[in-house]
Amino acid sequence: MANRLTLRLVTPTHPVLEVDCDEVRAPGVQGNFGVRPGHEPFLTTLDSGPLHFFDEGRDDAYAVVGGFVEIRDDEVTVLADEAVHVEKIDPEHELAALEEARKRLCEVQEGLVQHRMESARVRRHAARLATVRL
Amino acid sequence: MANLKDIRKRISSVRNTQQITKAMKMVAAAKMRRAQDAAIRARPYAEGIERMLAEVMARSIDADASPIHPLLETRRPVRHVKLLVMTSDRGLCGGFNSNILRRAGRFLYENEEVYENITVATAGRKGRDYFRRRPTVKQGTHHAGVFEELRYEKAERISEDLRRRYLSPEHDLDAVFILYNHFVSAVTQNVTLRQLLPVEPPSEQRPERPGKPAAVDFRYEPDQAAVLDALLPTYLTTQIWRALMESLASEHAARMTAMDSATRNAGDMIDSLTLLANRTRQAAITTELVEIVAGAEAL
Repeated sequence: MANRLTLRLVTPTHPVLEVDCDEVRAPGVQGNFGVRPGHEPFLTTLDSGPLHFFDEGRDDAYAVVGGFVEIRDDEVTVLADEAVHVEKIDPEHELAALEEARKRLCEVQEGLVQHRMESARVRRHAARLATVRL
Repeated sequence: MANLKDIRKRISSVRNTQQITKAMKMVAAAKMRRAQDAAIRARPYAEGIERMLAEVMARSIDADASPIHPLLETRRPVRHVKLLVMTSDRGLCGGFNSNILRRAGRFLYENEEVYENITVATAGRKGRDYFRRRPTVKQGTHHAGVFEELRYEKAERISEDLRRRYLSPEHDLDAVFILYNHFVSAVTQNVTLRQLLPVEPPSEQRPERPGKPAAVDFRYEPDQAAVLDALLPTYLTTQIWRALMESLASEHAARMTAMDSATRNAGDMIDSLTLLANRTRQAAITTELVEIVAGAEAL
């Protein structure tokens, strides 16, 4: 297979990376999915979790939160609200932050702005932890 | 005849001012460059959202079965309108704020009869202060501190606030416009008025992918309506985000230009004052000489 995928990862503030790779795995809203060259045109919303990509057996990952994925002509465009590289994640710090956010989430009333903010925080830290642990 | 000492004092005070304006100019130039960079780096995301939205919309228009999304639907009649005005927090930036506010005034004047109710929301302290002094204008939310540290979350918050009111069952908001300075270059900024809500879909006629069909049959997950539902708010946010960044870059550009001409004016003033000082000094010396000669002759 000569075909390769082009992965573009972009956040609202800046483009994060653009690489060629063999396979991408992303956390869609309806479960994780994998992409290989020749994938059908596909548009989905992104959940939070690890975004993996494989390049000749080498595996690299970013923790992403929310956004969209578009696949078209072997180009995978990931527009994520946030993206953090796996090596920049400190598991202990994330674990503490996750606990903290969970605790606060239980304290605030549902439906409030704070509740949404805290649940976003929980998702962010959970996604980062999941990325490190894989 | 002006006293030589007074003139010297004035020269040094003008020189002080010149140093300040020069420093401000340099700070504004650095900030402008940073704001410009940020605006450029944010472009791929906004373009991506725009492209995806265009793709989703291209299909849903064909399928007449799908109902129009509430964020897209134009309400008739449009009665309650909001104008979001972006100014700066600080002054000393030339015509930056007055251009925007004059345009806002024109908008209010022109649409007074058209819409039942126009509310002005502001981002940036100067705009808030201006409309506070005008009690006839109905003031809405002031988004405080947006420009102090510009982050995407701030655009998200504004977008969320607008959406909530727009979609509220009371129907007290039917359309939203945004007024900001569009950054063209360091010397040119254009006052721009755009409609935010109902969302005007991006036009798909872009020659960005030549040779490929414009409409591809995408598979959507969970489904097309859900993707559209998620895309529209994000699209709104990116539009606000973009306007915020344009406005910030424009503000610094306007300040840079204003401070540059202030520095130059101070330079001109120093030159003419120096000339005056020299002339005064020469006159004093001449008078003194004349007195000495006259005194010697009298002996």
